[in-house]
Amino acid sequence: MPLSITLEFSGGMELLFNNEKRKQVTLPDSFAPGTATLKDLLPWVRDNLLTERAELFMQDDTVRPGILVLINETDWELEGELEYKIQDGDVIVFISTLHGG
Amino acid sequence: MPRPQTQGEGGPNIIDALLYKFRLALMRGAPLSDGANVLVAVSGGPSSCCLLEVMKRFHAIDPANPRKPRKFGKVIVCYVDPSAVLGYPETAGQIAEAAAAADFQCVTVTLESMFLNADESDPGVVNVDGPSTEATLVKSATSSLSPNERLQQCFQSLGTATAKEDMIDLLTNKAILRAARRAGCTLVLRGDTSTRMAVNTVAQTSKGLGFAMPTEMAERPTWPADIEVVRPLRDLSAKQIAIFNRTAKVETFVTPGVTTGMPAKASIDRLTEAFVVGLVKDFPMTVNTVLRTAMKVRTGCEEKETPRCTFCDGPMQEDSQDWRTKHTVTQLQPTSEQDANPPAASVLCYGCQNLCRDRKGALMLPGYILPH
Ligand SMILES: [Zn+2]
Repeated sequence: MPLSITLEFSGGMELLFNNEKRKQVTLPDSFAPGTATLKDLLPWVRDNLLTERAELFMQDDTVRPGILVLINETDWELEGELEYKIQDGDVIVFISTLHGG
Repeated sequence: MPRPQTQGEGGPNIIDALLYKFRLALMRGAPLSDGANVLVAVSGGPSSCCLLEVMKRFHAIDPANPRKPRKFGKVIVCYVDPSAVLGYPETAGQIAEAAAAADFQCVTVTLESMFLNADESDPGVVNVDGPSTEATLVKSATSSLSPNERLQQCFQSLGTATAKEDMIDLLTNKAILRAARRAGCTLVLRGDTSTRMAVNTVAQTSKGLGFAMPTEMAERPTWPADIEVVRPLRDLSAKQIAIFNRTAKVETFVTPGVTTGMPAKASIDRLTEAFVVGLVKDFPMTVNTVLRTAMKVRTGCEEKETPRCTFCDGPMQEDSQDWRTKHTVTQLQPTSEQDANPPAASVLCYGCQNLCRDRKGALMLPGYILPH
């Protein structure tokens, strides 16, 4: 069973994603339930969904400072950040707190 | 399974915690404003939309105590519409709807209207021309261009993204105060967060605008004399605002600005923001440290006798006056010619002179910066 998750973009983040605020995605088979993490997801989002400059979304292997990530409405800092293991049905929200989008 | 509350920043009571901090900052900033008419400046971004939501809750009749009088008189939402230079004219309508949903009046002021006088009469135009170090002001009492065309021309001759962002900020700030006076509001609320204020502090300092810092930072600025400008979200971070907006389902209307989608080094403001926010990641106290330091700065800019820039109304530093005097003396221009085309430094502050620095050709400004 492939993982199916919801991604949301707001606070100006949506401007980097073709102005889409909400996107339902089915991840490819390489994302195995129970082992795939946010560390795997971020580059996939960057390479498959991002329509603007990558450096405005990611810095090194994580999100750029100033982008808030919520996993099922919980700050990802409390969920292990990059180590969080993706579960089917997760809602992952990226909110820009930056002025310049 | 989604959890009911957003955890991490203030726990489940993020809404109450934010309202509490808003109230405290408002009481400190405007302790004598009972009954005042209030203008709430809303740009559509996350913090000003949060401010609108918080004001809606603050101004609502308390169901437990319906006879308790409201603190304020009228509450008016003000949107300064930059669509003439940035596009997205639909934002004005979206903000008007958000204001109506909160039961507030809404006024929209266009950026180009700042090329007219407050009474909408035509002040003509002033062209800034000549080499940047010795720029002079050339006034035309009339112009066949519409305010929109004047703004376009002004914007096109600004040389850098930094200057464009600064010009939009300057005209926006002026427009907010003008709208407040027109609507009879003596209190203006702005949505600046602690994060934004720290970024502004560093950016303004790197632009050489430290002289005006006490006005920018004060909890109760003494200038302008007729209107109190208060930033009641100043004790909240951009992250706290983002979580509040998510929890309270606050809609935002973010539109691309001058440097949106451009590299982080596109302007001083963008670069500074990336720098401060990057520091916060490893040193969470950065914002508080910058703000505590900035609040200690005293420059004398708020003294009554401090001359004011005729464009941005910001304080002009004594030193640049000295510089101007020396400069004028060494020029040995005949008095009549000097009166006709005064140097930019005689009426514009350092920041506004900076705006003129990298211009391409002559820079068109509103005629009222030269009263005669
Ligand atoms: Zn000025």
